[in-house]
This record gives sequence, C-alpha cells and structure tokens, in this order.
Amino acid sequence: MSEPQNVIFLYDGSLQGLLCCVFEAVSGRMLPLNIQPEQTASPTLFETCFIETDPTHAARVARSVSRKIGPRARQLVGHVFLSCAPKKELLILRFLLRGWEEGPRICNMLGHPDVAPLIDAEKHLLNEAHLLKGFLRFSDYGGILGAVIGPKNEVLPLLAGHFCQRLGNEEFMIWDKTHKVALYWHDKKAQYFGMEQFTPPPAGAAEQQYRRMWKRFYDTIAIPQRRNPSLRQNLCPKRYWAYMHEMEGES
Amino acid sequence: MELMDKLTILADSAKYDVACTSSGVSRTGNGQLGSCLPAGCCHAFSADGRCVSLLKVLLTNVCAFDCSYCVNRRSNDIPRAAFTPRELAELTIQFYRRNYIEGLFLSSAVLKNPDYTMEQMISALELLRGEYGFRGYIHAKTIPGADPALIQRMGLLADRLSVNIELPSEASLGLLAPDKARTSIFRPMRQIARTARENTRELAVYKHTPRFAPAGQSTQMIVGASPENDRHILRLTEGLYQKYSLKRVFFSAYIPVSADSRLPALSTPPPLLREHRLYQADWLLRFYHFSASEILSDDQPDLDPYLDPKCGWAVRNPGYFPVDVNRAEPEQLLRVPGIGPKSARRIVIARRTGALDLDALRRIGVVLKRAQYFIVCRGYTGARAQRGTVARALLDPAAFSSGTEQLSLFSAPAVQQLTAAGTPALLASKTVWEEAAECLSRRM
Repeated sequence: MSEPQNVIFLYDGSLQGLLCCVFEAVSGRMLPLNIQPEQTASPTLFETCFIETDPTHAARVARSVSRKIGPRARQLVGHVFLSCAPKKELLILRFLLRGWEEGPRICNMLGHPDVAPLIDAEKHLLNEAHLLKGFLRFSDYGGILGAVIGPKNEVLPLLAGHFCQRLGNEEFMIWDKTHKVALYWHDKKAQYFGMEQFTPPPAGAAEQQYRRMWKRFYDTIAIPQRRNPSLRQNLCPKRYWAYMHEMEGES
Repeated sequence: MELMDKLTILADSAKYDVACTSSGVSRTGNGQLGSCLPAGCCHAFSADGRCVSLLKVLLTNVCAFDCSYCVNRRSNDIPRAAFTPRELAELTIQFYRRNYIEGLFLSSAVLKNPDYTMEQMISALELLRGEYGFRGYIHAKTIPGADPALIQRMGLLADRLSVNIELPSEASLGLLAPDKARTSIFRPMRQIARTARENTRELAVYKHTPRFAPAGQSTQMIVGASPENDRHILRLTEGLYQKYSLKRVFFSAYIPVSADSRLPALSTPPPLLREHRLYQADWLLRFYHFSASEILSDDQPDLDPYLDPKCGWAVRNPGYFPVDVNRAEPEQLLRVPGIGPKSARRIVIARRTGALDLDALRRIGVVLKRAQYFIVCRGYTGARAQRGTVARALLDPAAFSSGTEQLSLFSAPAVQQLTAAGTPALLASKTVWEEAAECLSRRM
C-alpha cells in the first residue's frame, strides 16, 4: 500500500470523519494522494471520493490506536488534528499506518520522517496556545468578559481549561475569529458554539480607563536605553498585536 | 493625585528591577479568581524586549536611603508617590481579570524605616489574598533590615520572595550603598532559605500547613557599576544557588542614572552583551551541569564577547570530543554545542528505537551548524574542516549584529567603538568578525 493512488479523500472536517478516512484507507488497502475537508477542498483534476462519517468506524479506529499504538499516539493525533500543519490529514494517516507496524515505540522514534513532522506540528500548536494564555485580552462589557483571538492553530480547546478554572467566578466568552468558534463560560459550565461574526460592543468608561492605565504601564515599564524592537517582535509576533490594547500605535 | 499619575511614577521607579517571572508554583482557581502555571506566563513584551508578566510597581518611591546607583535615592529630585493598599489591590484585580497580568510584583522604597515599609506591603498583600480571594502569583521584595517576623508574614502571602544583592562585592556595596550592610542582605536570604526548608518538611507531615514562598527566592545584582570580573560574579552566583537554594539570580546591566564620580559616566552604554553572556553562563550552571570553575578560570576571568560560554568551553577542551550521540550519557550530550536540554532529552528517547543518523538529528532539532564538529553518529565519522571554518561556525552572530544596517545594542564593545569612531556599521561588524574568527582559529 506504499504507492499513493490517484484519488483524493474528502471528509466532513471532523476528527471522526478523518478517522473514517483512515478506516477506508486501511480496509480498502488504498493510500490516497491527499485528504481534505469537503468545505475547503480546492477543485482538482484528480478523482475525489467523499468518505461518509460512520461513528462505529471512527470508534473502531480510535480504539485500535489506543490499544495497539498507545495513549500517547492518540493524544498526538488529537493535537496534530487541531494544528495548522499543511496536509495534516495525510501526516496523521502515514503516522498511523507506520504505528500499526511498529507499535507503541513509534512515539519514541522522534527522528523518523513519519513522526518528526507531527511532533513539530504539535509543538507549534502547544506553543501558540501557551502564548495566547498570556496575549489574550479580555474587555469588561458590563460584567461579562469578552475576548477575540485570531490563532493559526485551533487552540480554543487547549485554552478552555486554563481560563475556565482561572476565571471560575467570572462569566466570559472567547471568540476564535479564524475557526469561527466561540467558548462561553457561565455558571460553572463551558460550552462551544459556531459563531460566524462577532462585533464587540463599545467599551464603557471604566473599561477605557483600565485600557489607558494598562497602556501607560506598558509604555513606562520599558527602559529606553535598552530599546530592542526586533527582540520584542521575535518574542511577540506582530500577528498578535491587533488584539492587544497596549500595542496600539506601535510599529 | 490621580491613580494614573501614581501608576506612572511607581512603575517608572520599579522598571530597573529585572525579575518579572511568574514560574515555580502550580495552583488552581478553586472557584476564586486566579491560578498559577508552573512554567510561568508572559503577558506582553515591552519595547526593550523584556517579558511583562506581573504588575511591577513600588508601593512607594519615597525613600530614606541614598544608594548612589538607584533612581529613587533620597537626594534625587524626582516626583514621589504612594499607593494605598486598597488602590493597589483593586488595580491588580482589574488588570488580572482582563488577562493583562499574571499577578503582582510588589517592591518598595524605604518609607520611614524598613519595618514600617514591610507592614504597608503586607497589608496590601493581605487585602489581595484575604478580601479579594486572589490566587494569582505574587512576588514580593523584602526590605533590607526588616524584622524577621515580618519576613515570615510576607512569605506566607507571597509565592516568591526576593532580596537584592545589588552589587557583587562587599567593597562595592560599602562604597555605593552605604545604608545597606552586607548582613542586612544575607540574613533575610538565609532566613528565607531555612524557613522554606522547614516548611517543606512540615508539608510532608501535614499537607494543610500554610505554604511559605512556594516559588522560592531570587535575587539580582547590577553588572558594570563596579569593577568585579565575570569570574567573581559567576562564583558568587554558584554559591547562592548552592548555599541559599535560590531559584534564580538575575543580572542587570548598569544604566547610568546619576553623575557620580564613583560610577561609570552617564554616557556609558549599558553592558548588554556582557549581561547576555552572564545569563548564558547562568544557564550552564542551572541546566547543563557545569561548574563556575569550568566556565572561567584564573587566567581567563571574563566571558568571551564573541562566543557563547558553552562553545568557549568546547574550544578549550578538544579532548572531550567527538561525542558519540548514540552512546553518550545525557550529561555528555549537553556539553555539545548545538545540543540543548530539549534535544538531549529527545535524543535519549529516540536512540532507544534505533541508532540515529544526521538526518534524524536534524529532525529532532539539533543545531548541526555547530554540533557537526563535535559529534559522531550512524554513518558520520565527524566533519573534516579547517579551523577557520569551524571558528566561523561557532562565533555568535548576535555579537556582530551582522547583516543589518542598524547596530544592535547587543553588539560587542569593539564594534560599538569602531562605529563611534566613524566606521560604517556594516564595515565595523565585518572587521571585528574577521578578527575574532582569526583569533579563535588560532586558539583551536
């Protein structure tokens, strides 16, 4: 099954759907040229084949991954699925096929070409999630906190636990602009829902005052004799700046 | 006075304190406001590239002391202000729930006397921890000369305590900070270390014992205001880690804040590259199993501006190499330039599944540009390269700010001197680069 066939698998964009593609590849002994979510698939000359999501198939694959390749493999696949790695579906498929041959030791083969790209994708995801734990900014809209993020990776599930327990006594919403998903925490319960558009209400007087004080603190804390814009940009890439009040007017 | 003005004055007075870390303690929210991440978390990076993790302010900058290197010294004519404990607590909470900060770093100038100042700081922290139920990170600075009972109380409220050493030797301290005695710095440090040890034992017996400064203690010293060499500073640092189990020692490149004949001239640029090298050496002490005497010796008392200290050690100890990546102990791997703690750990895991070759090492994250001259692995018996080539691969490009028109603050003093004398930046860095490479290859 090492030679890819001239076929592209399409799936519904869910992890379950992707596991069904894996099921199809294994049971049909057919390695696709690529696997793409149906919604974002580009038109192609190659033959495409839509793989229906069948929960029993997905569950069989998930169980087999846990049993035969181990819980770490299951975690890695989950993380890579949330990442923005190009052709991540194909990476996952190749990793799993190799994993069924090698067994749990596959997760330790960190220099292997079928493993290293997944480790890198996971690192990128976890790193962005870590940065956003710091760079995310809430605004107080009459007692409810609201934040907008625009991450490359789908980090919201990784941020949820952190913010829900840190701000346990607050009510808040985080909207992921890139993936059009929102997380809402209220009354000790978290829920996700799809959200195409969100325009934050205008900030009240107190909110504006705190933003001004924060900006002032931020500007004051820098030591002019040590100014180092390139170091700052390395540590806090520009794509996060649009969501951070203190970076207004910085270049 | 408006709160905005107070914040401006008291943040400005606190900015020379280096530490803004929030690591070393894990705590969940538990239904209240706030939690702590063991790895710490940076919330912003200021224009000088330093991490902003905590609301770093002084409670007041009104000072009874007159330390010559300090902006807040009594004799300096600057605006003075003080927060009330309530103002400070409210500001911390409001910044925290907006996710601007990870917590509070509270320090203070000496208002009236050390004990009075400590009591004011403690009442602000009590308000935060008690009335507001705040579970985020708190770093508090103890005031030299304060009563041990007050330090004890502060340690039960704060996650990390720090006592600044300020200057690396007693002589410099006597000259530049006449109000601070050496004992007033080391006594609280010893007390904190001892109390923390006892606290760990008590916690083992009874887990509901109140925790004393769970994130440990740190200190900082100013580099470049006094004549001590790097070897002296590094040995002092090593001693502090061993004797007082410090979590961190911070270095702060001296920025002239006053015209004083005992201090470097106001026009002196802060020795940022030296500070950077000291931090690299500090990492070697903490994460690479190096000792201070290995990094610097009597005949080489200062760190090389052009080489990171680990490369420096490798160049002086050619007999240690090549290291066989597939067999070497983890401590040996850590000595190879281009292999850090993360890649060493990955190598140890990955080689159990089979011998590694160069491609595998690259995928794991080893920096082969430097490592290739120091290792052997499957299918690779080491690079055959001329000394000049190796030297060029090892030199730290940051010291020359090569490739950029604008001169970086980090560039080596020699580059700065050349540009100050009128040489264009690019030419200056190229000239010094060539000389440093020549000099290094002769040493190899």
